Parts: sequence; structure tokens; C-alpha cells
Amino acid sequence: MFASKRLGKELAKIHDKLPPGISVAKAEDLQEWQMDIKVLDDNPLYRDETYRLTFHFSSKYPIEPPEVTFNRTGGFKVPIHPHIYSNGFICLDLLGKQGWSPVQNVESVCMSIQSMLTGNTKNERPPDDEEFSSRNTKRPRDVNFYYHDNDV
Amino acid sequence: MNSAPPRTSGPQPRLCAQSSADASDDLSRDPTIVHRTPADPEAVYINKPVEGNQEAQRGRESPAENAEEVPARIPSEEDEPRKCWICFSDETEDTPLTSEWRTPCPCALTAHESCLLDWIADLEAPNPNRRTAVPAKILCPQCKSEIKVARPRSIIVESVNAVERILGKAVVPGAFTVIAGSIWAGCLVHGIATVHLIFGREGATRILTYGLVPQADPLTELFAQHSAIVPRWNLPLSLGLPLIPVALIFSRTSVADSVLPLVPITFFIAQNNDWDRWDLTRWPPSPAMVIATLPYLRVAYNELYERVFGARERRWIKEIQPRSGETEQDINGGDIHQAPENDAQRQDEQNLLMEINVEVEVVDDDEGVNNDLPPGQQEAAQGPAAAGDQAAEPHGRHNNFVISTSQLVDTILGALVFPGVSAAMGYILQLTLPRSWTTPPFSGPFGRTRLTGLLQARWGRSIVGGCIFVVLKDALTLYCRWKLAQGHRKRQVVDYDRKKKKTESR
Repeated sequence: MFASKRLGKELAKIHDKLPPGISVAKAEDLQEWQMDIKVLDDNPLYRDETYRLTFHFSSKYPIEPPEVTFNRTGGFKVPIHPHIYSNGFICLDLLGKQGWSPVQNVESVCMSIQSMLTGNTKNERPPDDEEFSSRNTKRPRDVNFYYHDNDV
Repeated sequence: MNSAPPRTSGPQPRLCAQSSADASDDLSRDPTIVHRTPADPEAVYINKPVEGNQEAQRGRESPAENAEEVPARIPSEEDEPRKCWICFSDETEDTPLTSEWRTPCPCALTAHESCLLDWIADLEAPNPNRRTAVPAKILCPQCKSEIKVARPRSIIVESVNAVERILGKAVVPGAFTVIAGSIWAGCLVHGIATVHLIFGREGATRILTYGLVPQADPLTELFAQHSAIVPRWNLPLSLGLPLIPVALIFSRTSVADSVLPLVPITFFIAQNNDWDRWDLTRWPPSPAMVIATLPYLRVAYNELYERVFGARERRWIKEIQPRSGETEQDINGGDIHQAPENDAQRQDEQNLLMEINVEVEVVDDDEGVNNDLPPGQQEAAQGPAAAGDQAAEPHGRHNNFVISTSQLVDTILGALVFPGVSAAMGYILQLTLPRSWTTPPFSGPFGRTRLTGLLQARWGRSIVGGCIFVVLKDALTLYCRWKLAQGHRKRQVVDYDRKKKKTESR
């Protein structure tokens, strides 16, 4: 009830207006949305690519953070980034329990991820990507990410 | 609000079509969409009690409310309705059930009290990742100023929280204290057992109860005499006794060569009573004197061993190495180590011992036994207490410093068992030597007896026995080396005799 009220508000807002490079792909219910993001500058890592994010909302949203992952299916690629695992998991502090606060919303999360990509110059995966992506069976919210650094 | 999902489905298809069109025309967003879209969501989501078409709503709303809603879209107006930063609904949607508005911090964020309390409850919820039950402060996510919550105070709850916080901080130091205490207690017990073995029961009781006031309460006295547990806090004893096993272990290595001679001295200087008086002219010397000279004896013995047998032993060991496995470099390396400069040796051995910590967990037993150092030298370095039989396993030579766990355990166990071995040797001495050598000439009260020989006291026999054991063991090891080396060239592989259907030695 809490979540649906707030998500209804957000849905209205994002259908109304979104920053450039971010668009709604699918928002048919109040549990899962899909958002498309593009990196607008000429970053060669992400040029001309559209990435699709899946948002999962729990019933305690926005008290609890949404689960946000990059889609691997449907012809979408997971952008290469030192904080993004090849299974689509994103290591971003504002998506964790410690970094999240209810002032964040779908739009601001999309913008954070977009700027995270924009600012990146490293063509690499996280150092433990191979092991994590192949072994991990947990959901994103149950993973304790160790935030390697703050410079990206 | 439970009707929210059906309502979203109403305008949905159209909006989806729009947004996918957005995506396809590459972000050059048609400005008309901005004008077109607000109408529907506004109608559907903001005015929740009203169903029906948008014209009807507009008609029913008061002009003032309508005017307020438009600036809500353009957030710069002064008198916009307050909007909860948690549930995103604004003042216009308040019902009688909605809780009050709060502005807890200097910045523009305002929220429903119930939303804030939900959020705070989530922050304060016990979390396995968090150590203390209650976070220190709740900060506004925007301006980072503290959000104060007034709540009924309970002295008990607060003091429990405070205690929990203190305990949480004390966990690591506490664990270290417990571990250190256990090690200390183990060493203390071993030290007491050592004193018992070397000095015998009466001598041990004398040493261990030293410092007791004679009029100590009978219980303590009894306790001390019969179990020989240090009866009260006595600094030299409670520090000195646990140092016994430590010193024993170190004396099997060469790390503490420079410090080791000091340990017994400080212990026994602190023990300075009548019995242990320093008197260099007295024969037999006092136990303190003898024990304090042991480290020097050890150094001298090592040196002598190295001078006399070191080179030969290494030659014998080299003799039985597989020739093919030996390269020029290995031999050179060995030669460098054979240089008798003590400093260089010590340096090497220290490197080796540093390495123990690193390697112990990784190395398997068969992965090479500390063979960079020529084993003879290694043995020599380990002193009279050592004469390690591990040196008798010269399989293959490796250039990296590696020590195996089994060897480490062997060193430590050997060191800890050594007092027992010494005592056993002392007992054998007592049984084998003529009675006149091992009995004090006059049997007065213990300790006042004037001894005329080292072997007349149990401690003396134990120490001499220990020394004899070391020498015998070294001799045996050396003999085996020599014999092996001698026999090495004469080895033959035995042919299988087909007639007798067994191998036949010629």
C-alpha cells in the first residue's frame, strides 16, 4: 500500500518527464519496472548502446531500496564497468541498505547509474567478476557488496 | 489505494507506446508529449478519490486547489503544497487519517510523521551487519543534519544499550586476552611440571612456594605443597615459569640466540634467596648458577660441533643426494652456507624463521623439508636441546625457504618433552652410577645438606642427564649419516633370480 502509493506518484512523474537518455520501457505493475538508459556523451565504451535496467520493488519501498540489475536477455548487454558484474548486478552504494534513503527514486537511481557509466573510462569488470557471476545464487539485495573504491 | 493497480492499467498502453516512441526517435523528445502526458497521470494519480474523466474532476475541484496543483509540477513556487519526501504525496491528498507533517531539519524536506517513523524504524531495526542495536544518529539524507526523535526514555533500556555498545567494542580485545591467558596458563603449567621433573618434588615445592609468608593460612600452604600450583601472585614465578617452555622452544631454534642467555639470569636473580645465592667459588654450583650457564654451554657446544663435525656432516649428507638432481648452483649455494661466519648464518636462519609464519599453512609435509640450509648446520643451530632428527631427512634440495608443519610441530614438541627426557636420563644416572656418587654425604634437612658433587642432587642429575642425552643423540645422528654416506657408493640393485623366484643378494 505504501509502496504502490509512492510508485504511482513516481510513475506519473516519469511518464511526464524524464532527463535525456532515460526512458521507461515497461511499467505495467507496481512490482517490476524496466528502464532504458543511454550514455549521452561520446564515451567509446557505451556509444550508441541502450541498456535496460530492471527495478524490483518490495512492499516496503521506498523504505527499502529497490533491486536494480541490468538485463542480459532480450538482446541487451550489460555495460562494462568496474562496478557492474557481468550477471547484471550493480555495486552501487545507494542501492545498498546503508546508502539508500527514501529521497532516492527510480529517476534518481537511473541518473546515478547513467552518470556512473558516463564517468567511467576503464574497460573492465570488477576484479572478482568471474567467480561472483558464475557462483552467485543470491538476489541482489542479499549480496553484501564490498565497495572497492569511491573514485568511479 | 488498493484500486491503484487497476487504475494504472487504464492509461498504461498509451503511455508505453509513447515512451517506446521516445526511445526510438533517439531522445529528441517531442515537446508535445510533455504537454500531452501530464493531463492523464495527474488526473488518475493525484486525485485518488475521484474516478471518471478528467473534465469532471476539474469541474469538481476548487479553483484554489487546482492552482496549487500546477506549481507542484514546477517546484519553485513559494506556496506549493508540502510534499512528503518519503511517500511523495502532497498536502492536497491528506485525509483525516493522514498523520501530521514534520519538518525535522533545516532543509526543505518535509514528510508525514508516520512515514518518517517508518523510515527511522527501518534504520534502527536490528541488522546483522550492524554491531550496535541503535545507530548513533539519524541524519537527514539531504542536508545531513540530525533528525531528533523524542521518545519515552527508559533508563533500563538505555543502560542496556550502553552496555551492549561497550561490550561490542570489547569483543576483540577480550578474545585476545582470553587467548593470551590460555597460552600463559599452559606455559605456566608446563613450567611447573618442568621444575618438578628437574628438581624433584621437594625442590619444586621449595621453589614454587618461595615468597610465601611462613604464617600463610594453612589451606594455601597445603595447596601449595601438594599441588604445587603457584599459591599467590608472585611476579618472578608467574612470569618466569611460563617462560620455561618458551625458552625451551627458542633454544631449538636460533632466533633468540642473543636474548636467550638473559632469560634464566633475570629469572634467578629475582629468585635470589639463600639457596640460590650466587657463589662462583662454590662446588657444586647452585642450581641457579647451573641453569643460567646452560645457554652459554649450548652456544659453546654448537660452535664446537660446527667446527669439528659441521663440514664432514655436510659432506656426508651431500654424498647421499641423487647426483642428477644436483646442479652447480646448488653446490655453490651450499658452499656459501658452509662459510663459518656466524652472522651470515644467523641472518639466513632468521629469514627462515620469519618464513614459518607465512608458509606453515600452505606447505605439505612432502613439499621439501627446509633444505636450503644444509641440514647439518640447521641441526647445529638448534643447540643441545635440539639435535633434530628432522635433519636426517635430506630428500632433495630446494632453493626456497620452506618449513613444513610437521617439522614445526616436531621442534615444539621436542622442546616441550625435553625436561621429561632429562629427568628420565637423570633417573637412569641415579640407577646406574655408583651409589656414593649420587647420595649426599650427610642427609640433613633438605637444602641445608652440603653437597659435594653435582650428581648428588636430583636437579644436577637431570641436567647432566639432559646434556648427555643431547650429546648421545647427536653422536647417533652423526654415526647414521656417516654410515649412510659410506654405504651409499656400495649400493647395488638386487637382481631377480628367476630360478629361485626371488631376489637374491650376492
